[in-house]
Amino acid sequence: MNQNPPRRSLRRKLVFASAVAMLAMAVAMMAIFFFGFDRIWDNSFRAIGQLHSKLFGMNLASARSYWRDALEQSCLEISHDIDSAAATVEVGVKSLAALERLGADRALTRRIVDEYGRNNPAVGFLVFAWEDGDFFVANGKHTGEGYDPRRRDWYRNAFKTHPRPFWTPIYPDYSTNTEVLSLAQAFTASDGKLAGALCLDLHLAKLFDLAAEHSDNGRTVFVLDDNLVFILPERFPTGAALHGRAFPELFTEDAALGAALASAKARKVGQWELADSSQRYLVSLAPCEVSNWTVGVLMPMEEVEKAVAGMAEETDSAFRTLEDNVTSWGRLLKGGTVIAMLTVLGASLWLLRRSVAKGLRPLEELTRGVLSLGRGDLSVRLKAGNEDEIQTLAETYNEMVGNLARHIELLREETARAARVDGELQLARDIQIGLLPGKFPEPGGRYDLYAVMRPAREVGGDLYDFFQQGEKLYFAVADVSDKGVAAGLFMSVVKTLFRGMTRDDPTPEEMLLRINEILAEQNPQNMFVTMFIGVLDLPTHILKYASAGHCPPLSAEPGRGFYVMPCPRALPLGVMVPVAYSGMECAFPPGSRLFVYTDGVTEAMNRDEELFGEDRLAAALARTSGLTPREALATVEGDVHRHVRDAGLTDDLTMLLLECNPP
Amino acid sequence: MSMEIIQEQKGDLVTLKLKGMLDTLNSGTLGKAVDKLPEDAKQVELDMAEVTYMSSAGLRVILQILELTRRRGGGLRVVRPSPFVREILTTVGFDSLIDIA
Repeated sequence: MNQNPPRRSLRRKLVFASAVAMLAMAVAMMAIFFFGFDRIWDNSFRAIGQLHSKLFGMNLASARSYWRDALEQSCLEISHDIDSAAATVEVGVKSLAALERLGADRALTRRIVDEYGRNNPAVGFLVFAWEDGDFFVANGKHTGEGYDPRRRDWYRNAFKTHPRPFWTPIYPDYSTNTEVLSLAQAFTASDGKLAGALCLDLHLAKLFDLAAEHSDNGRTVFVLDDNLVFILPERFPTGAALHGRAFPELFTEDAALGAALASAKARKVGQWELADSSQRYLVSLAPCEVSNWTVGVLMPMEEVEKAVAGMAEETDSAFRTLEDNVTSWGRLLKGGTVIAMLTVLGASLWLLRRSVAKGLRPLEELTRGVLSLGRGDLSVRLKAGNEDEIQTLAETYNEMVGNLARHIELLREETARAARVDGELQLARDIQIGLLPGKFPEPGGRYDLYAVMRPAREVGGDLYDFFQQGEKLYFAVADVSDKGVAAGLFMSVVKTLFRGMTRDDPTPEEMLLRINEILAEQNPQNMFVTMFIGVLDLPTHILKYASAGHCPPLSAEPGRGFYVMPCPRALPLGVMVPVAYSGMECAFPPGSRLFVYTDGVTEAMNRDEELFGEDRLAAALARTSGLTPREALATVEGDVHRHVRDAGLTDDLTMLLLECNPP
Repeated sequence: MSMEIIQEQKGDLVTLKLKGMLDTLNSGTLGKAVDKLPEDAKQVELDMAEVTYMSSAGLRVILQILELTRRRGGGLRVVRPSPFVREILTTVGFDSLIDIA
């Protein structure tokens, strides 16, 4: 018997199958998740990216435009500021020029001019000169030897432009090593004739101060005086190289430069992109009233773009942060999901293994139980499981083993009992068979006799007997009213009585009378027996016979067929006393045959409930002429067995055939 | 091959209507029915119209009933016996003991 654990256990199979299913599911879920997730994520990311570049582009354009506008705006403002400053100076100069016409004497004039010069830091050298050659310099400043204002260009030009002031171009003042320009104004006397002129120097730096607040972010502010560039190198170091150079020569000659020069000449506001050999610039130009200047603001394109980029940078970096966040969150989400799924999967597998093991425990117990049953141990009962099919199986198993144990016990008892009864029955049968005469006369004697008794049960209720006493042959056939042990015992009593009462040579009817008296006297079970007794007188061939309720025998005269012998009716033996039996007598010459039987022969029944019957018996006996009694009975018995076939005998079957031989 | 027994009682008369084969086996069944007969049953009537076969064991039960009823001061009567039953009863001479109608 196989007691090893199964090589491919159910548990392993279950766990394996479930695990495969779970893994497949997890893989499918992951694939769907990642595919879907990636799609959604990519789409979102792309949308953000598109928005980013769109906004960035818009932002860049607006920043660029903002910066261009701002550059032009500051250019206009500087121009305006310079104009305002110049106008203020002009007003002051005109006021001083009015002194002569108003009749102020020269000492007063000198005091007022000194005062003015002191209060205006922008004002440098200030000369007040008359036509008669008299002149003074404000604030005690000195002139060189032989200085004659009337020979100066500004003096003559002031006379020419009178009443309007005259602005000189910018020129270097070597005494202060700065860039200056001068404003000259001629004046008239009270009579209206030109009486002289005054001139003051203005520090360019002072004028530029006005534009100082516009100097940042890489911008360079300059003024063009007759196409010459003036700049404050200390304030605008990036544009230092431009200082004092001709504006057209600074840039590569192209259409933009031509347009810029034309615009400046036409005194218009404009903005151009100009290039030199190394880089490109954004240049704004605006006209200025002072001395026909042009104010310019210049900025390298690189700087412009840098500033533009700086402005756009804010949006850009916000988007970049967003994109970075989205990317890292996506990664985190993906990784987290994978870890979570793997964790859940692992936990599920563990739980699965556990529950399968738990679920199959009863099955393993069942296996153990069945194995122990196989070893013959019927006492093992399985514990009930947890209300599933296995519990049903366990209960069925328990019931089965219980029934089996019960049946085995019953069988054992039954077998023991049957063996006991069988033993008794066999013993009774052996006794009974032993009581029947087993030895028949040798062939060739004065008579042939053969008889058979086939009990339906182990102990029959039938009897045959014969014995020779003197010259008389006594024979009998009897049928007890039941079968079994009691009938057998009853029969043995009958036989004993039959054998024991022939001393006084009784007739058959006397024998029946005596046996009946004894049987009926004490018969609590109401048993009775039918009996046929015949006595053949061998020398005379006279047969005497009597019947107690027995079926009439058949007889055949020599060479003739069988016929039913006439039999007076009488009650069976043991029923009651007294009963009178009548005897019969007939000749039984050599060659005569007598067939005595019990109703087990004629009442043998097949499955169709057909009796063998007297007709079939007669037919069987008709085929026996010339046969020995033994062969004849075998023929009849063969016919009976053919008739009943598998139905078997329901009643004991007894036959006796007597044939008288010639002397 | 069972036997059917229908039992009816009218006063001290019990009628047993038998149907089937009164063989060795079924005789036991009838014997038990007889053992359970009511105490006051004096007269027994056996309706044997539908008894197709009767063995000597059946005869014995008939004798038991006869004895029982005689003890109680009554008697047994076999009514409408089938030809087979009538022949058996006659063969064994029971017609001299029992009232057969």
